[in-house]
Amino acid sequence: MTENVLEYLERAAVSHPDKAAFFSEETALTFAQLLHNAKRIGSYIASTCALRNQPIPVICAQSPISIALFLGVVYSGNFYVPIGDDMPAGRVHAMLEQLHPGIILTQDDIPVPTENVPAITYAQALCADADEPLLDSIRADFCTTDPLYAIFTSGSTGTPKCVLKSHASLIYFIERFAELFSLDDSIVFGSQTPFYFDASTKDVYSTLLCAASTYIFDKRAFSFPMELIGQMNRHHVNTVVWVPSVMTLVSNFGVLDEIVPASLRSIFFVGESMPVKILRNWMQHLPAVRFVNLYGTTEAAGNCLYYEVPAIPAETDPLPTGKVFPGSRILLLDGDRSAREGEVCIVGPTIALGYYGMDDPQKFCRNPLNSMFPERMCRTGDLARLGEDGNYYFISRSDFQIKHMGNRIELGDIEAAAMSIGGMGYCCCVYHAPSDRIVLYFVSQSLEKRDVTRALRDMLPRYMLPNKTIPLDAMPLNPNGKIDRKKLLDQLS
Amino acid sequence: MTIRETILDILEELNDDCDFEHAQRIIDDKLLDSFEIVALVTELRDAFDIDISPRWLVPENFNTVDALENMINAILDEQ
Repeated sequence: MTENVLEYLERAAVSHPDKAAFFSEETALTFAQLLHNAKRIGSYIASTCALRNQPIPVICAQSPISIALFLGVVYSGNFYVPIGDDMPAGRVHAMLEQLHPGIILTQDDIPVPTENVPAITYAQALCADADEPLLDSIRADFCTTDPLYAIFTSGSTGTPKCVLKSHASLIYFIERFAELFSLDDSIVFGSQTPFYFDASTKDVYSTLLCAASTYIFDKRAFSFPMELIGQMNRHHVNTVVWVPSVMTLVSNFGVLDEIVPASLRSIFFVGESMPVKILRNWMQHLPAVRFVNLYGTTEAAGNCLYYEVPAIPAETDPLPTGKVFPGSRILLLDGDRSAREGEVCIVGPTIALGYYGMDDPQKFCRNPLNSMFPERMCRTGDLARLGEDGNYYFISRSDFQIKHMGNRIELGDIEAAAMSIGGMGYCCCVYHAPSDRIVLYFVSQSLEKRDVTRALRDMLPRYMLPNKTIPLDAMPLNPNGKIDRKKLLDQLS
Repeated sequence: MTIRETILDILEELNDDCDFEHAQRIIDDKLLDSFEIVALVTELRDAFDIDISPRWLVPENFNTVDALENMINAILDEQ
C-alpha cells in the first residue's frame, strides 16, 4: 500500500537505478539521479524555510529538471504548482497573488517573473546535501490526503482557479490506470502535454510507478510533424498520451503516408473530442496499435472515463467516451435529478481536494441523490448521455467553455482581458468551430488592431490568444440589445 | 498582392511585434511558437490554395521570408 508518491521513486531507484527516467534531446536523469537530486532540493527547501503543506510554484520548462524540482518540493513536505516558462507575466502575477508563496523554484536559465518572492534555482538547491534525518521527520508527519500538486485552470470569473490534488487521489488513479492498461518497465512515453496541464501527470507518475521512461519532446516537434515522428522513432517511444489536435496535425499534413511511428504500441487521446475521420486515418496506418479515448476533468485526478476503440469505427458513428474507471462512479444529473442525458458528475476517491484559497460549493458539493450521508461529488460542467450499449457519450460543455488545441478556454476570460485594455469600447469573442479559430471583434476609437494584440499577449497565455482580431465600426446587436454572436460567426463562414 | 506581400501579411497577422522581413532565423530564434507555425501553414494553404506535403515542413523552409517564398513558388510549380 503506497501512501506517498515518493515511494514510487524510491522503489524505482532501487530496482532500476541507472535507467533514464526522464530524458530529452539534451539531457537525461536516471532514477538514481532523480532520487538524489530531489532529496537534495527537498533538504535545501526544508532547511532554509520551515514551510509545510504550502504551495511552492515551479517555473518549469519541458525538461527532466522540472521533474526533479517537483519531487524536491514533495520531499520538503510541500506541494508544487507548475507554472509554464512561456506564460505571460500578467497571468503569472495573477497566479502568485492567489498563492502568496514563501519561495519560488526555477531552472537556472529561466528568469523568475517576480521580485517579490525569493527564488531558488536548481543549481542552488543542489548545493545542499541530502539531510536524511530531516527528510525522515517530514515523512513521519505526512498524511496521504496532503496535497501533492496544484494546477491552474481558467475560471468563468476571469481569475484562474487553482485545483489541489492529494497524494491519495493521484495514487488511486495512477495504479488503476497502470493495471487497466498493463503498463510496465518496457514503456517509453512520449510526453506532449506541458507539465502545467493535468494530462501530463499520467506520463510522469506512470513512469515512476512502473520504472518506465518518459521522452520529453522538443516543443518544435509539434510544429514540424515529420520531426515529431522522427524523434519518436529515434527514442523508441511506444506509448503516448496526446491531445487530438496533435493527431489531427499529423494526419492533416499526410505525414503518416511518408513515415509511421514504428515503435508505437498505444495512443491515449484526451482533452477534447477526437474527430472520427482523423482516428480512422491513424488506425488504418497503424493496425497493431491500441487506441484509447480518455475523458477527465482537472477537478479529479487522472481520468474518469475510458474507451478502448475495438476496430476502425465507421465515419458516421459517434465515438463513445466509454466506461467508468474502476472504483469511481459517474452520475448524469439534470439539476438535482438523475437523467439519461445530463451533467457529468463524479463520485469517488479521485476528486480533487478543492480550489486553493477559494470555496466553490457549486463545483464540489454533496451528491443530491444521497440524502442519508454527506457524499462528496464534483460537477464537471460537461454534458453526456448514457447509450444503450452501456457507454457514455460526450455531448458538449454546458457553459461558454470551449476546447481549442486541447486547452479548456472560457471565451469570457478573453473578453474580460480585452475589456481591461484602456480605450476599449466593446468586444466580443467567438469560436469558429469549422476552422478551430478564436476570433476577437472589437470597437474602439483609439486602439489599433496591433495595440489590442500586444496588450493581450501580456495578459493571456499563448493558447488563449485570438487567432484573428478584427476591428469593427460598431458591434452588431440582436433585437434584445445583446451582441449578435451569431451574426459575427456568420461573417466568418 | 505578390506572394511575398501575402506571406508578410500572414506573418504580421500572427505576430506584429517582429520584423519578419529582415529576420534570418524565424524558427531558430523562436519568433513564432508552435501554435503560430501550425497557424502559418494553415493560412498559407488557404491563401495560395495549395497542398503542402509534409516533406516541405522542415525548419529551414520557415526561417526567412525568402525561404517561405521559395517554398511556395516550388509548390505552385509542382501543381
